[in-house]
Amino acid sequence: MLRYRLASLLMVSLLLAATLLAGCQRAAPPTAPPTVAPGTGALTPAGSPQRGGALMVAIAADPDGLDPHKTVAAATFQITRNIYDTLVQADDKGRIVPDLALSWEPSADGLTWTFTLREGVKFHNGRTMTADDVKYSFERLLAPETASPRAKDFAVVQSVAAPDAKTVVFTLKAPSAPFLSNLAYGWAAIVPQEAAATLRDQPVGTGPFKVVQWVKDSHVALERFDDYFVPGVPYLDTATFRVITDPSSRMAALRAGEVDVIPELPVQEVAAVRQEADLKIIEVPFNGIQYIAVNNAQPPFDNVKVRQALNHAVDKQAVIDAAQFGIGVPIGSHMPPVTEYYVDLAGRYPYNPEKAKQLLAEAGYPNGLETTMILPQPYDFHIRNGQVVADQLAKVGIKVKLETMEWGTWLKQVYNGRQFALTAIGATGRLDPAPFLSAYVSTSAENMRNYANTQFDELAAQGAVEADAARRREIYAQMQTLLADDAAAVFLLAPLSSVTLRRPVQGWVVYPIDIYDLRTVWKG
Amino acid sequence: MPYLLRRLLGLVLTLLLVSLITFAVVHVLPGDPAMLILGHEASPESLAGLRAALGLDRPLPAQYLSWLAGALHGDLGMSLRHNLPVGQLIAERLPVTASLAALATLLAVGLALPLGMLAAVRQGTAVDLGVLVLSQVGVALPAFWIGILLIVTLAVGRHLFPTGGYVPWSASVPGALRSLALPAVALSLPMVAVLVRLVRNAMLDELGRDHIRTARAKGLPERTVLLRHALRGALIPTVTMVGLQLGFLLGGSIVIEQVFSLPGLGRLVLSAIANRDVPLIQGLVVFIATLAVAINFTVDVLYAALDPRLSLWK
Repeated sequence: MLRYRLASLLMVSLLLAATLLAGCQRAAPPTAPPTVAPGTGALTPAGSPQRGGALMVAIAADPDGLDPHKTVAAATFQITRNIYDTLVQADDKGRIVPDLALSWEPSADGLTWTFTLREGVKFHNGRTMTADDVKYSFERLLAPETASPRAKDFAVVQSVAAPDAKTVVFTLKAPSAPFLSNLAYGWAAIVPQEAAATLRDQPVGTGPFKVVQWVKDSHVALERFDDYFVPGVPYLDTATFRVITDPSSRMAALRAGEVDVIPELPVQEVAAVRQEADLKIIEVPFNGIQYIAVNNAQPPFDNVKVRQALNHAVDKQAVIDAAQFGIGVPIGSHMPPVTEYYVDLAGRYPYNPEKAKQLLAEAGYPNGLETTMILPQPYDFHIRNGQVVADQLAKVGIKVKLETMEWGTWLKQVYNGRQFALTAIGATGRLDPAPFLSAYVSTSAENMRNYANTQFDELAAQGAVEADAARRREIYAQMQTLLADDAAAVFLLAPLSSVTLRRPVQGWVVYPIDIYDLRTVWKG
Repeated sequence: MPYLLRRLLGLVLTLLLVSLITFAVVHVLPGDPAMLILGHEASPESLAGLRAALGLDRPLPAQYLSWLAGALHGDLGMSLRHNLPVGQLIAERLPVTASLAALATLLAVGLALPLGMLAAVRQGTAVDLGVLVLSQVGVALPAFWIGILLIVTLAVGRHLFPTGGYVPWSASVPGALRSLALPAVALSLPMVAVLVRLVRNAMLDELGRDHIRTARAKGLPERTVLLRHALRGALIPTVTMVGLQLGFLLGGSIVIEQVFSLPGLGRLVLSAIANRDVPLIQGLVVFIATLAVAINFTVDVLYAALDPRLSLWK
């Protein structure tokens, strides 16, 4: 029986190895922090775009199905922008501009939104899209049996009506400031009813490309949709998203000329790529932040002085230099600098170890304290942040025990269970600040940090319904300041996203939402 | 009880145990499949709804028994993530991993047998030392590192092979061979290193035995002595080792499929675990265990064929 025992032992170790390896994989967890950024570096096509050619894009994870109403996976929406359209879209500066809807008008009370659709738009199956398809798509998104993880973005929608072929009327339960920008996300895509059952594997949309083939864990092949409603667009004949999970293999494929684009280059590769003549790199501020979340309800971090001590003890620029290879900008609250709502609070707690020690002494910890920081696998950039911060905290007498934790476990224990003291994590920005900052509302299910401030809660409630732009900006500025004053977390940095392309590729645009839009891309 | 029957019984028991252990391990792992599907922003109601729809709210013994009942009928359940039958997913991925493992084994045996014999015949010479040193180095190098090295030198530098990806046999046979060549080499080298030493030692063992002396005394040509008499004896431990190494090959392919972006079983195992896709993990582990146990079983049968002292029926 010895060999059978060996065999079972082998299988158990195999499973174990696979479990361990799961940590090495840069998978697309459904909540992967994606990449975005409005415009500063957006590239305008030099010369005149040429038609034709095949583009190969390396992606890190296979999409979780291509049905936009049935997933939250970043890897799906990065691709589906090319297959489906939405009523409105965000431009590279994050402004809402027409897509399938040419114009829209809210009623005075903010409860009724009327959209006028573009006419003559065709689905990939040849049928003309009408207002009924829009009505159907939102009803499908909201239906309980669809179980769309994003349905709650549109929970404010009471009903959708299609009075004629080019008019859609949304009736809301309450005024909602983020409603319009929510329509620009990939999960609000317009789909044809007749193809709904098979969208997951055979998507049918109105977008610039149609799907020719999807080989799971290998590639998604697209072909230009000749009836796309923007004349002459897209330029490419075909585009292929090739799944290459291993970062070194991804770089090898780019250097060998097998792929043309790596949409997200890890920070450690940037310096080398800058030296290479065949490659170019577009660096744009990312719509998101990286920070150390602090459990505001757990001693000793329930004491604001201890949290402020943490902030004074951390040298943000040193974290950026050591953990992010110098790529990123320091921040002081829960908001990335790329959004128009950003208030610069990066200097709120200057690096001052003496001040930190003094605050710790005032809080009753003259000899420092010991705590634990959880680092989520497989996000090496968060892990590096945590390691550098822990090292800095040690210098003021805060001994941090580091514990790495696999993402699924992190979600359960830290995010859901709120069982943690400190954790290194990030947050991806939205087009509207309301859903982004509501994560600190005391009653929010997303308030993993157990932050509680009634003034903040009131401001969040006002901001979500305020129609006046200037007044809204004021509200969100106050909320950011409150988070900084209360030292709700150790806000570290806003990263850059680095798109790497082979020289002949032109016209790649980076948006403040996480999409790989190939409409403007062409090969010279 | 006859040898064959005992082995078969052991096989069934092993598989049952493997399935039970896998089930327990997967459920001990923290992490909620519903949350990994719906994302951490999902409402508690939709999470509860999905858990019920997936049958995750039932007691564990009930979940295990209904899985077992299905598995006995060849139904391994539905993948939570892919919403497809587990059996279909395995069938789609198996050709990639099987081709890779077969090529790697062929390469390994094809290299290790002649090298090991050469080292044994030239025992104590520079050739022997060279083979031994190389095998030591081979054991120490991890397959993924060899893989990356091969990509950098042969694929990026010279464009002799693609850096990754898989071309199905049905699309192009040369294309398939080209896409599997580097991963098969990377996967086989550590195996060659292990086998070479084994073949060498087994050959040396055999060459010192009485029947070899007798064969030589009979005046048989050295060639016949080596190939007909010594090699036959040396093959028994070699076959066992190849069988065992096949299991490790399946494990190694998890890493190699990552490095070379091959859509095989290894990739499926990793993503299933990352997504807490319980039925898929369960199905894959039991399937791989079945393969390994079946290989072991085959080794036992081969044993009897190679060694007349063993009988399958006693």
